[in-house]
This record gives sequence, C-alpha cells and structure tokens, in this order.
Amino acid sequence: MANGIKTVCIDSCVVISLLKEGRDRLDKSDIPVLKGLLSDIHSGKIHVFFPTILRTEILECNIGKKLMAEFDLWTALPNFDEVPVNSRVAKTAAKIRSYYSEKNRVNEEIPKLALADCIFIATAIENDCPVLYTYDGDRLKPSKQKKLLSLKSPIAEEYPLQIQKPDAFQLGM
Amino acid sequence: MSKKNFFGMTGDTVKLIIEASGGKGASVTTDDFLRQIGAVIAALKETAKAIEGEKSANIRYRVVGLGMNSPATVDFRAEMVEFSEKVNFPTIHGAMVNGLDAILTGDREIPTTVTAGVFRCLKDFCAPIGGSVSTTRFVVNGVKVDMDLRFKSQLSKIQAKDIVEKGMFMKGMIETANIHDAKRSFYLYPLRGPEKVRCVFAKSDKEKVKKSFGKYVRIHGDFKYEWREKYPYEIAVKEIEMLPFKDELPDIRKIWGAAPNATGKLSTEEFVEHLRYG
Repeated sequence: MANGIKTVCIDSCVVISLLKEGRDRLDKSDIPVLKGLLSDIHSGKIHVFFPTILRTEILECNIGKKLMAEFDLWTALPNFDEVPVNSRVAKTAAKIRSYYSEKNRVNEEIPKLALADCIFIATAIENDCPVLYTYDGDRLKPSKQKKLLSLKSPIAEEYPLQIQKPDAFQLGM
Repeated sequence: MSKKNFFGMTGDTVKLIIEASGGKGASVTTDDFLRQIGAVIAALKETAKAIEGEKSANIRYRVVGLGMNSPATVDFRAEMVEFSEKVNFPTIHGAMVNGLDAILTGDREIPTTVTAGVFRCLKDFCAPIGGSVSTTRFVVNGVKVDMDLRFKSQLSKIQAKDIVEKGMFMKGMIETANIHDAKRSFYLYPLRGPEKVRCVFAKSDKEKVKKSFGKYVRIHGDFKYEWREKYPYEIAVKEIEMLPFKDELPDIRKIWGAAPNATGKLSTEEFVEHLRYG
C-alpha cells in the first residue's frame, strides 16, 4: 500500500464475474464485495493491476465490440492498470510453474498450474501487489488441475503473495 | 535490540577493516579510504532499499568506533532518522554479507538483494583495491567477508548489463521536457512503480510532446532496464497516446452486469479453466 491506496492484482475470473453481475457466485455474500471492489476502483481507493492476457481472455467471452471498446477506455483510468508481460514476469511465471509441476509429480494434491495462472501470479509479484484476487478454485468439483485459491503464501516458497477471493474486510467495506 | 556477539557487535553495527597495500608501515590514501567508506554505506543503503523499500530513505549510519593503527578500523551503527518507521537492520546487514559472500565464492546464485544499485556501489568500492588498499574486511555480527583482488575479479565477472524490452507501455504524467537538445527527452511520472522514467523521443514527436506536457498519457516504446531492476530507467518512445480525463471516460461501474451471458452455459471458473487447460 502506497499513499494509503491499496494495490491488488485481479484474475480474469473477477472481471468476468463483474460482467455477469456475480450471478454464478456460489456464495451470495461475494456479490456485495464485488460491487464494493468496483466502487473502490471508481473512487480511486484501490489500484488494480492485470496482465495483458486478461484482455485476451475477456475477448473470448460473449461480449460485443462496444463493450470491448469501453474496456479499452477503462484501461485509461490511472488505477485500472493493464501491464505488459515483460521478460521478468515471464521468467517468474516459468519459475513458479516449474516449482508446482515438480511438486505435483510427487503429490497430486498440489495443483499443477497453467501458464496463464502463473502469469497472473507473476504480474502480482512483479508489480508489488500483496494480493491476487481470483475465484479460480472457488467451485469445489473434481479436478486435479487449477485451483489458484489453494495456493498459500509464500508462493513457490519464495514470493509473499496472498491469493484469495475479493475480501470485504480488506476492501474496507 | 540484538544480543552482542563475541566481537562486541550487534546486528545493527558494521565493521570495516581496511588493510593497506605494501606490507608493514604502509598506509591507505585518504581518497581511497573515503571512497571505500562512502561506497560501502551507499551499498548498505541500496541493500536496505531492496529489502525495505521507501522506508530505507530514513536510514543513516553513525561512526561509533575508529581505530587509527594499521589496519584502520571503522565501526558504524545504523539508526533511523527520528520519528521514522523502523527497519530490521540485522536482516539488511545479513543480506549484505550474504550477497558479498555469494559474489566472492561464486558457489551459488547471487541473491536478489544485490541489485544494480548495490552492484554499482561495490564496483566503486573495489576501485582502490590493488591500489593503496589491499583488503577490506566487512564484518557483521562476527561474520566476515574479505574484499580483495579475488573479490574484485569475481565482481568483474558478473554480467550486469542493461536489458531492452521492446513493445512495452506505461501510463503517467509528462513533466520536465527538454525539447531542444540533440537528445530530446522528458520525464514520465507513473502513478505506481518508479518515481519517474526518462523518455527519449524522436524529433518528429516534438509537437506531440509539447501538447502532452502536464497531461496524462500512455507511453509505448522500448524500455531499458538496469540489471535485475523491476522498472525501466529509460524509454525510447515509439508512441505517445494521450489519455482522456477520468470525467471523459465511461463510468467503470457500467461493467456490472454488462454481459450476463459472457460465458454461455459455463460458469466463470469453468470458462477460464477451459481457456487455460483446453
């Protein structure tokens, strides 16, 4: 936190949940929290980072050109910060992926991460965000993959980063 | 407060033992002495910056011991400027020793606390070694590292080169432009990250820079990074994108429920999982 403004990184799940007004959130208390997050972005109380690949994932959704054009404009907000994936982010992402792949070979309970998951984590780390907001893993269903929410800080035993759902207390709601 | 060890030191204190070249009776020149003192303090502050960030700006060192007999010894104690937030000095000093040892032995990866800033200070520190200085011993909490010709040679082997990343972008305000010199430049002040970044632009962008002065922009270009640094120190500008003011932008709260069918029959998580895992 600098100048009293909280800094977080957000995963595509969060933006898609906003687009869908949180209607598929299992825990309905997530809905006011999502609204609170949006309100904090609007008022400049929070600085949100996300990697450029979020844009490509959003483009895969059923959204019109007009909304995508608006999304472009929102990235002009000082505190809605799309950041490029530079080699530093790529290296950190690769290191994290390799760490969890190794662990997964020994223990399948430990999630094996997709490269995109790791890019979101690395973007948070390299932009000094203490938190990555996601819903990945919020739905308990059989899957040996994914589940960002199951990762504990320090990530890959090295990087202090909390991975969690948007949190009312943290957002000061 | 850390406990004192058998050297009578705590983790807040650093000792330098500076040995002159030329054997018995030799002495270190004042220039070399002062250069090493200045460089080691600067390296300690850079290490603190890597660990503690902005808080490190309030660290200062006080001379608490001075031995004039050869070899010369100087003891420094770290302290914070009054009313400033405290930092963990033993951690900072321990990180410095660890970094120096990793450089000297070459037996492991150089820790990330050895930043470009620390590296620069150590280069400066090593300049007198082989001149009037033979070895400078850095001691923290009983752990010592000898910085001698071997250390200097190990340091010179580190490939601490700048890197350039093409096609990057960053938002911020344009200030302090120099539009007349051969190397035209302005400073970009981002809201997050580095305090400012120097941006070098082409002659053809001169008018655009004038119009953008004091405005909020997104700069696209090739970013230059110092070794291991997170943020660029210079941008070769390819494009200056003027950004609208907040009140000219659509209200971001409009995103709420803007695409209720965004993921079709899939839940948000299933949709993202499908994208990432196929």
